[in-house]
Amino acid sequence: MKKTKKLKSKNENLAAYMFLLPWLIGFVILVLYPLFETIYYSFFDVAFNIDGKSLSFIGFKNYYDALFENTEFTPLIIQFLVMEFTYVPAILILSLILALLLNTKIKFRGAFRLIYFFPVVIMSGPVMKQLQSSGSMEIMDASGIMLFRMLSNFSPALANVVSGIFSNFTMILWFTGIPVVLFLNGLQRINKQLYEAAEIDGANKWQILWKISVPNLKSTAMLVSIFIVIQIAIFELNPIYQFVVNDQILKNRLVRLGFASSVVLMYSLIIIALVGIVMLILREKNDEKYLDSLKVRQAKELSKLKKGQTKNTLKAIKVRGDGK
Amino acid sequence: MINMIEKIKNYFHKTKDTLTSHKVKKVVLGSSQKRGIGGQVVIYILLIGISYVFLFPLFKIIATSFMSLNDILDPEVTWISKKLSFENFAVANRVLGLFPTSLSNLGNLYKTIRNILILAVIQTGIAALTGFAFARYNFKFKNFWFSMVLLSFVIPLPMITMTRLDIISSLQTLTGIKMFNTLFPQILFALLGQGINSAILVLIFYNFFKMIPKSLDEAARIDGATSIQTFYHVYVKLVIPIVVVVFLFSFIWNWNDSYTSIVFYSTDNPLVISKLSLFDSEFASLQEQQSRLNEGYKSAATFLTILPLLIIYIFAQKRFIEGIERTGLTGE
Repeated sequence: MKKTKKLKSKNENLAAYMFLLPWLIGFVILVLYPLFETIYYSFFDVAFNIDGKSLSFIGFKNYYDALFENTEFTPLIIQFLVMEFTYVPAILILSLILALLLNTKIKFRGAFRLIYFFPVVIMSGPVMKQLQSSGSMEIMDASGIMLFRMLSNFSPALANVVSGIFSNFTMILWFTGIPVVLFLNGLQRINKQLYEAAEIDGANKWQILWKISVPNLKSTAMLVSIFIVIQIAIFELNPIYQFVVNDQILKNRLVRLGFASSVVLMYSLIIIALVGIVMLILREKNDEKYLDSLKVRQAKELSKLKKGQTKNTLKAIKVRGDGK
Repeated sequence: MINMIEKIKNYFHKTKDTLTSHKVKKVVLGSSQKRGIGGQVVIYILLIGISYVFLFPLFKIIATSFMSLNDILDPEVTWISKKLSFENFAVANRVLGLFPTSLSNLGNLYKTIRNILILAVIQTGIAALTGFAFARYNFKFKNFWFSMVLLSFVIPLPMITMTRLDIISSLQTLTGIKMFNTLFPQILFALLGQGINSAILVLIFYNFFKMIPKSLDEAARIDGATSIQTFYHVYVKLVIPIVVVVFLFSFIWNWNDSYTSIVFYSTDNPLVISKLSLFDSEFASLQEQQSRLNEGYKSAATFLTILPLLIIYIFAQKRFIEGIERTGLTGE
């Protein structure tokens, strides 16, 4: 009995790895090995001879050069971060609103969903570039509005960010295709009994939205944000894309491989750090801790009630005593 | 006279009463059970307004692509051109080289579809195998490899591109076959399960195979089928719909994958969107044009580029949305 079981698991291992083989080879050769090689090269000065590459270790010099000697990298990184920090919350909030609107009982739901999802299919760098250069993306110009001019007097940097959001509003909306579907799916997974219970307790729509729908969508929101962060990072219209892809990967690779590696590595680390930040902000709170805090609060309320009651009874006794 | 005023007053009070009565309030503002007309109207206005913003660029390029230069310069014309002109499409087609010009030159649209079909078929197949292995077998290090699938989605592509370029160039010198500026690198990546967004496709298959009861393939095994046979007879026949979903996504993503085509296949790539990204310079090199580059040509070219995708989308839109839901990302 034992033998057959062992045999079976051995067979299963073999079969599984056979199915997995192409992906496994690809992962090791095309992801894992490049990952470590890029990290390795970023600490070296790589020179090209007839024999191939000759490496000399220079520590963190490549990183130092990229951050402090190169005049392009640091400003571009800041622009890129500004884009991520404005786009990700904007896309998150807009897609949540769209999902909540689509989750109501309305006619033509399918048609609206059709419209909101279509950008996913056609969005690509060249198409977006052409749309922008022919002026088709700009639906309104915010710079003329009174409120906006007041803001730009107050702080030009903030005004730049705001005008960036307004003039690229359509593009931001176009990113919401997949997030809306994910949010809708998340909304439909919420237990219907929760809503019923809240309604019986007399909660109104607004309260239900904030106490039930939004908290239950937290894990969906985390996934959506990670997805958006990565999507923007490899989006051709982000400010640093040209620098990383055209200048470093395609040109500098053949001249200063170590430097190019360090730039690419820092860029990737920033993206991974952004993913980490998103996970930190939107992670599920530890349920046990939450329950404990609830218990503490409940105990406090109870003791308060008890105090009130004893006071009241004392008063009542007093009143009765006075009456006598 | 006083009577009249009394009457009007009475009438006024009555209407006021009915307006503020519970019933009207319920219809307009809604109750806790049912949304009122007021709420519905607000939702519809919002949805339609947002739809307009969504579709605005599309409407704009369609409208502009039918305009001649005079219409574009005319401030009176915003949406509908005074005279329908198809010249823009003709020029855009010539610059992009979409349709066949002779028997030897079949046109870039055909070549694009051919290339993308090859990539999408390979990618779908490999994603199916990988997803199947993860969903159906318990093997050593399963959790580790599965988290590696997720990792390969999170690692930014630029990070690993340089070594991939090295690998391809050393393969090229080893075999002596030209590999850069051909489809070979992309085929290789697809074959090894590392094509564009392969991780998501694996996840779709993984969730699908997990849903099918295991007793099905146990029954097949008892009847003496080998693993390959169970894979084919039990699953392949069940999975046609999900294969279609994954295939469509793979097709769309490969079509829109400008990154890989810029890096590995930059010259003479027939891919329509890389032709579009070179539209300005190619337009200039085609000296036959008398007129200067204008928005009409650009819009027509953009519209022609996305038209095949839009047609696919209109016929298969349910499948796309189903695919995103099938990733199982939102569940558990």
